[in-house]
Amino acid sequence: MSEAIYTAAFYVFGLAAVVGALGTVAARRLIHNALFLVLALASAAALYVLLSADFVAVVQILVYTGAIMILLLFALMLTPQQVELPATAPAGQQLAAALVAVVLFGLIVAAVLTGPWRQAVVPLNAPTSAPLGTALLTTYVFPFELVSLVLLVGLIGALLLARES
Amino acid sequence: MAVLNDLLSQVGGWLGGVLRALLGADLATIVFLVISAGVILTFLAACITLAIWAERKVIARIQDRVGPNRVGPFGLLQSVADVLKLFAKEDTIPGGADRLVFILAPLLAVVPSLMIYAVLPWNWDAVVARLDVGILYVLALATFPTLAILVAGWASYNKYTLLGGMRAAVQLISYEVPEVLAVLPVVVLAGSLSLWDIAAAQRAVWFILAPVVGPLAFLVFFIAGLAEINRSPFDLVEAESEIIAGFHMEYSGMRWALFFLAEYANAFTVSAIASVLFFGGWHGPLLPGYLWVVLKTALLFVVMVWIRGTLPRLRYDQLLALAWKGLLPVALVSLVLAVAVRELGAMSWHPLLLLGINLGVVYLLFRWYTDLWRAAQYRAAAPLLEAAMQGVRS
Repeated sequence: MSEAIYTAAFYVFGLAAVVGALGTVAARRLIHNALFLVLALASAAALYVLLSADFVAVVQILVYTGAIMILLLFALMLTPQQVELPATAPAGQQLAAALVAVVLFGLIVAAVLTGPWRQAVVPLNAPTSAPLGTALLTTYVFPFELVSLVLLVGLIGALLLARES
Repeated sequence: MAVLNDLLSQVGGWLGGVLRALLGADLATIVFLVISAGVILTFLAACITLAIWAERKVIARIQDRVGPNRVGPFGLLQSVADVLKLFAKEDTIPGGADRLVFILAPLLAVVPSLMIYAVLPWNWDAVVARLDVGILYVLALATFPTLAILVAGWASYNKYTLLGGMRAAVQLISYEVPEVLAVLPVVVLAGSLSLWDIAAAQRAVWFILAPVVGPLAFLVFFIAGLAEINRSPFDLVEAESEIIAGFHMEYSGMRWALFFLAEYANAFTVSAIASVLFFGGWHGPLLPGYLWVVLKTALLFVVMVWIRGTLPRLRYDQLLALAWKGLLPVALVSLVLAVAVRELGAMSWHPLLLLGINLGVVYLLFRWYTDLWRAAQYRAAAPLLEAAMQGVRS
């Protein structure tokens, strides 16, 4: 793919992601917020594709829009009283949230500007799923097992909750 | 035959050359992709028109009727007439509806369903996108129609549509798990996530012949696939006797037709992906590869229609019990067995031996199922028999 198409695609999906993110916080009806979140997550997946991380992109769609967003929407629709957001949060809360957002944004910008970015050493259209799998089961096998332990705990917790009720 | 076999790549190569000469490399790539998409979508639309006719005919025969036979020879033009009618219908949007979401939902259903066809290998030399994570891409996009159904049900502002949407969500979340797990044995056997690699790996033996694993994984994949696309007997999302027409009750005209189109595109997707995963994709004697793909897909689609004509709709608890207590354990077992098959090198055994093993497996499954069914029948009939006997005795 040539530079121009790549750049155009980046701006289209980048813009979509930003619009989705803004809509997620700005929209008034909870379902709309959730749908904007779907847009943001799907656009992020498209950006991963442009970064030639095909496996991460596909898993992002499969897990986030495929499972998590559907569960989220399901839960939202089961709570009809909560569909309309309260008009405004208390002023103190708004101030604190703005402060946290500004600090976080500053940190991210600083990290992006000062980070030692590594240039690509492998061709960018190489498949990523096989190297990822090998890395997870050799170099990073301990963190990988740790994460599965966390999931197992979550599973057992869900079972316990379901049993008691 | 050789000429016919690489017909698609020949035409594609020629067209690509012409476009590059006319437009330069960049623009030619884009135009070529757009043309490929157009050709595939046109072909798909024609297939769907034919499939609707075929489904109505087959269902009619199963129910001892004639089916559509008025418009055109054998009623072939019935679907065309129906589409024309849909174009002419009034486009209504309910008063309380969330207009934007209501309008966008059919598009959210249809576009991802059609995007799946970009990675389907039509022949060894004819794939639009030979994606390394092809099967995951298919599974990921296959979740969007459910999202669309859920959202459409909510946006219509009607309790029946909302119920339909809710059912779709629960159904997807439950059946997504066995669906993905049933694909994994094939991935283990082929050693790749790419649909092209998976089909190419079945050059000698189709994966349906993988001892024990093949039939089990295919069964789970096909059943879970049927559930995920809301086809009968899993069509609780639009169960007429309970929630009228479910999620699409408030839709009319072309908006409704888009949902219908997505539904049939999804039915084809499940058939086509099953034929690539388990039935060797383009591999087959005599005929060119792309014809084999179409033929296998069509046959699996007819099986779907057959199932629709035979089985009654499942009850809600049965639907969930089947996913979590039936398909999930079977899928897990077949995944473990797939690793064993790979380690034993069983795929290189003689095909007739593999066929024998699998016929045995299918027979045992059949026996087990009929025994189970009979036991259930006896259990259900026991109190009645008891009562009847008491009547006789006294």
